[in-house]
Amino acid sequence: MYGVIYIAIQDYAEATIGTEKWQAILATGGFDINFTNSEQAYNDDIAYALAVAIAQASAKPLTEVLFSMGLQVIRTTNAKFKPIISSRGETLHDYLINLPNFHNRISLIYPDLNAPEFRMSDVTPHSMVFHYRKKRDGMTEYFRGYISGLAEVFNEQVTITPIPGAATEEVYKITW
Amino acid sequence: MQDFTFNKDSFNNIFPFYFLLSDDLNVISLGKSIAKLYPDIKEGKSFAELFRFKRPYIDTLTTASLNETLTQLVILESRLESEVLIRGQFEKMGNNFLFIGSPWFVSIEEIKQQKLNIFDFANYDPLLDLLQLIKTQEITTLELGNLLKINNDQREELRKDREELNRLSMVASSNANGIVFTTPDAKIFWCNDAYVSQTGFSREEIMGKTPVEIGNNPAIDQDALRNMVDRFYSGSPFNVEITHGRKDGSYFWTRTQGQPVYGEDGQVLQFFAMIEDMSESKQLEQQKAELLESLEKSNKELEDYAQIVSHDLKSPLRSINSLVAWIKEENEGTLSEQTSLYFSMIEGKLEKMDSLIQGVLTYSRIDKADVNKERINLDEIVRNIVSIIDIPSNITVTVDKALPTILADRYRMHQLFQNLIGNAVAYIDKPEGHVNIGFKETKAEYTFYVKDNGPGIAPENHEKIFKIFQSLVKNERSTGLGLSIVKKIVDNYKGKVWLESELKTGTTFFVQIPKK
Repeated sequence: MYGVIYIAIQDYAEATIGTEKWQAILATGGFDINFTNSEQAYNDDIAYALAVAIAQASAKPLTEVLFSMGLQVIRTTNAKFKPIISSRGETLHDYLINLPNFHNRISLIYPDLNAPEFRMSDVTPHSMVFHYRKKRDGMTEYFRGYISGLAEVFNEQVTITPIPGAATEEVYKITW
Repeated sequence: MQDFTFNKDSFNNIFPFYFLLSDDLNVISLGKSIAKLYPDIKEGKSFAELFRFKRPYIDTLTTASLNETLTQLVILESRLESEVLIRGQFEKMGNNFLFIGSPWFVSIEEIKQQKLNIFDFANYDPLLDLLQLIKTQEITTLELGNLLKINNDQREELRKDREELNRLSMVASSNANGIVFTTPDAKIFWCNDAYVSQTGFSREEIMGKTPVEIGNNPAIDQDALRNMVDRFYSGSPFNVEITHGRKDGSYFWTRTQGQPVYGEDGQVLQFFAMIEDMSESKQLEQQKAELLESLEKSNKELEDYAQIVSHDLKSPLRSINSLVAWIKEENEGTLSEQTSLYFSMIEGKLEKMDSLIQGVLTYSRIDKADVNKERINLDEIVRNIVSIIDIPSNITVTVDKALPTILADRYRMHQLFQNLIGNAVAYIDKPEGHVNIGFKETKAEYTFYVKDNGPGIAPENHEKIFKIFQSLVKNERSTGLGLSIVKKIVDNYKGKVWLESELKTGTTFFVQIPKK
């Protein structure tokens, strides 16, 4: 289902810059993405490059585009794979706790899928620290959007505060 | 609720891949199967030296970071030789950390490779059963894959067959020749439009009939028909020229070719025949034969005519010649100078008339049979000609190079060179005349030349002079036949004759004769 991330980016891009400009980005950028394959391996570099191209085409700030893309990933996943989202926890707390587990299992089942790696620490009933093992810099806003999307799904109001972490991590304190 | 207590053995039975870490993260106890899977794992060894966390990622392993994994599935990989991953979870047991899990395998073969067996897994552990299930699925998938391949191959073959069939069908349907297919008992079950058009019958009228029923006609050659029918019933191909009837009672000439189509068991399944309309070529062939016959007839008539006429003309000529001689003899001394001159002129004309008749006779007698080949010495022939013809004293005839011995007819070669040399000598208008004779040869042919320093021949006459009775000058001795005779002889030898000439300077005649 990791191909759903590209499908979500496409949903966002078409809504933001239109199909024509989006197709032009794909054609000229040399992106080799199969939008019909939801088992396609995901890659942060491609997502970032697409965000840069969409930002240029839409004259929006890159941070806004990245945030919207992260948000859209959850929205599209929820729309297409609602049972998966709901099976991972009934509350935002449970969902976040389960997020690393889920991806760990995926990484075993699909070793070529390059599943993302998460870790939660400092867990309390209404807060926790969200760690993402980053593959590249510049994805902070994307994960802020991603977490905001999750909060939206679980009808929670969250505060997301990036906090300095190890060089290999994106770290956020999430409170709700 | 009752607390659970296990001794080491019973715990080992349930979790054979367990290990227990002390609060300083050293191995203090381990299950029987994990020891088998990772032989280097020993009690007292540091966990951090034995394993690394594959998931979740942990930068520095501490009791605190290990505590954070308690809620998660962990995936461990050996820092030593084994590539096998182990998945499970940590639980706190007092101050210690208990790991419970099992290795991650995706096939039965991997278990064998690791030298594990069913007794190394807890009875409740579904891994082996799931792998067995996967194996069954794999076999089924493989079988399905093979079936799919067979199916795809067959589909591809069918596609190619269909394409081939379409192509052949198109060739048969759009062929300009009539094409029919018959059953082994000669009933037509398919024919193309051309056959319908050739015969004038409708397709409905043709179907179910035999080609003989459709094509029979009063002019049919019974032998050819019998041959065709015999070959058909013996399952052999045939190729005959035969007339084919039309619905309106007329017929046309055909080349009819038939071919049996055999089944795998060697039985004739069907026959197909192609009926090529030969009317036009047959007509042309007939016209050509008639033309040749007529040409041969008129040639013969002409030859006979020329010989009869020449013979009949020669006789009165001889009489006139004798009469003139008698008149001159009887009146010798009494004839005036003028009368004597007239008589001389009559004799000159008679001589020319005689030459002309002789020429016509010669010309008409040259035919293809004269190429009669014997080895003849051309040098000897040419020197003989030079010695017998009348050569004025101001003219020198030179043979530049001794001519070769060739395969040809002696008499015709004599005629050929006598005409060329005679002409050269006759027309020289210079005070000092030169005639040169010679040849060149290649592997395939001889090219002879006769060169003079006569008046030359204008380019517009180069072709004309080879035509019969075309003399360019008014010469008492010229019959206008000499070069025609040369040309006819050369033609019979499949050779060539041509000339190069410059007015007032001279002419060279070339004769090319193939060696074979």
